Amino acid sequence: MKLRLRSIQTGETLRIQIPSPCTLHELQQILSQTISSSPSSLRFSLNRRDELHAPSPQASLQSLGVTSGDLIYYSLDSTAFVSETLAENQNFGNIQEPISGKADNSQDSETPDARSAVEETPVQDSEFSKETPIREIPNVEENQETQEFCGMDIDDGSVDLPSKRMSEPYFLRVLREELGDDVSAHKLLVISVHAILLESGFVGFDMVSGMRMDRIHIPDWWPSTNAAMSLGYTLPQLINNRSVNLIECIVLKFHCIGDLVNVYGSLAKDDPGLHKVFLNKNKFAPIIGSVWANSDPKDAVDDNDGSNNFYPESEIFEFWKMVKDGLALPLLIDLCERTGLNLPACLMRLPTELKVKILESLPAVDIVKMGCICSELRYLASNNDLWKQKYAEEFGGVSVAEPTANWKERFAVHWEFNKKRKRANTFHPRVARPLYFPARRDPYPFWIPIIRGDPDYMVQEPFGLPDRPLARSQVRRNFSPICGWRL
Amino acid sequence: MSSSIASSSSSSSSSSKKEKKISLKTSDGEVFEVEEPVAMQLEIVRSFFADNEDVTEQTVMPLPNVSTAAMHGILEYCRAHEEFRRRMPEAAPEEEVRAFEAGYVDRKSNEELKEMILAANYLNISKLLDFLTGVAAKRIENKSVEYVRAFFGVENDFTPEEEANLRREYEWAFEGVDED
Repeated sequence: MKLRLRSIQTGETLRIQIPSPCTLHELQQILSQTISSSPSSLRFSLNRRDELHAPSPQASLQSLGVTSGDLIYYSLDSTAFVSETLAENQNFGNIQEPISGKADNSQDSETPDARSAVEETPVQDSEFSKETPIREIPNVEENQETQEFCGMDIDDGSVDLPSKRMSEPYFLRVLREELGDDVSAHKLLVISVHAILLESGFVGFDMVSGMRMDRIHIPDWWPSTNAAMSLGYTLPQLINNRSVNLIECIVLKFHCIGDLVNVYGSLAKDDPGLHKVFLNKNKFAPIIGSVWANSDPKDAVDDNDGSNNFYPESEIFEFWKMVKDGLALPLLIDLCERTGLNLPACLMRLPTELKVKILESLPAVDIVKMGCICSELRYLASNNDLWKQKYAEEFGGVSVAEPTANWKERFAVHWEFNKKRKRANTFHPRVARPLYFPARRDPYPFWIPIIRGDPDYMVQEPFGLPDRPLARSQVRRNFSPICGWRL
Repeated sequence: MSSSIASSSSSSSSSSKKEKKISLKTSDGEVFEVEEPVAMQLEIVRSFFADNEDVTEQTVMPLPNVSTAAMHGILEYCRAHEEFRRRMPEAAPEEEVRAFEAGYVDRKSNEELKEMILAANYLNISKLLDFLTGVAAKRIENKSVEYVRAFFGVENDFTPEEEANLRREYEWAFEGVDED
């Protein structure tokens, strides 16, 4: 099992390999040798605040909710973390309380929401580390705390939590599970492609044995020689008791030429069509690598010229789109046609660009609903650029380039704000109005129509909500100013 | 993006000459004789004829992913647009185009619409795609999640908990949908 251990004091991150199973005590021993310190003073925490305790000395780290690849904070100061009981120190026995870290670790693949939660993105680190001690936001139930950060007074559940500011593509999660440390850029790309294939419904397939393969094996000689490496995939429905050479499958061939990893995909047997994608390792590998190793904000800053350390959504999306539309989707269609399986649904068969086009033509509330249809659409419907565009259409005022803004969250906040204002105004028409206003009419109707057509036009000609909402919010007491909200 | 197809076909053809026809064969075996400028709106046809020098006028181009029904719908649209373009080469008569498009799409069922989107995607007619995706969006606007799922025939791959969480998280968007 591999773990990342970060010092709470220095922020330095160590990557260590530990035996599995491993107890907390053993972890102390291993770490103390690595950093040459006394094991007894070492304390661990999953969330930077609550100390990680073992209910019994024999309890394995896995039983505490720690999985391979997890980030664990450590401190040499035995009081750095909040202990669950007053009787802390040396002896870990008799603590029966549930370990807080267990529930709130979004990396726990058992959580139903696991696919979506972006764990410990650099954003989160950078934003929150200044305000220690602050819990990481584990889940929806802790919404109240989230709101405290932003100084907002809004309905529960209405805000995209910072910890899941964007819907993480499933393939990044697979990556984390597949990757060990020190992966070459080539292998990183191979595994990323593999992950997108899995996400699209394929399973790994050993064409020699006819067995399903859940892990991929990249031979050591690749990519050092010129030979291409092949990976086989099929669909779970096709694996049955038939003999190996009757099972239809697809083959991906990976060939390295300079900085390019060229991937050719086709049906394994006499296929006329060949699908290919050329991936530039210099372009994508560092980005995927930095997301994968997102534990390290310093890495992220370095990789991005220090300008920003946010989730590089658009580049990841570009990569995902290339592989999805260039390989995964056409191969899936080929294989279904060959074997007579039902093709994917109409919408899912369209290239990403068209799915996005449909989303772009929808009002915001319908985009959200589209995101509830299936996980792929959830990913597409949480695209930040899409929400930036919707925000501009609906509220206007997108002038400053703010790469780190979560436009979907911002949209929701603004939306709720307008709704509340409208509701409140109906009950307490406090604002002085000229008498000739026959009835109380909200100058900004709840529903603002959206002009369809040229997207450029839509962005530049928003239905303005100029400065007034902000000005009003200072008058109305049930809203505290929203941090980071620029209009 | 959408202008390239139209312009490439417009310069070459002249309306006075006897028009060249291009034969396109759909998945169910029907052969369509299509006027060249109309057929050239289909990017896949245009590149087929541009890239293959040995094709002749007699060549029948197979389109295995397009049904006859979808082909009828697509040609109707392309012919109408070719007609608009021929009458007003500079700028399309906006209102007429809109009126045509509105009437055109009203007659299409959801199934026909979806089939045409897939066909237009295969044939790579960006103008028609822009239009049809907009129409599809219009048809799912303000509908329930279940309706949209059924509309596209998409399988729900969320667990009940996941879906409940999603809906709770985005409660603000779930207020009042039209009757399915």
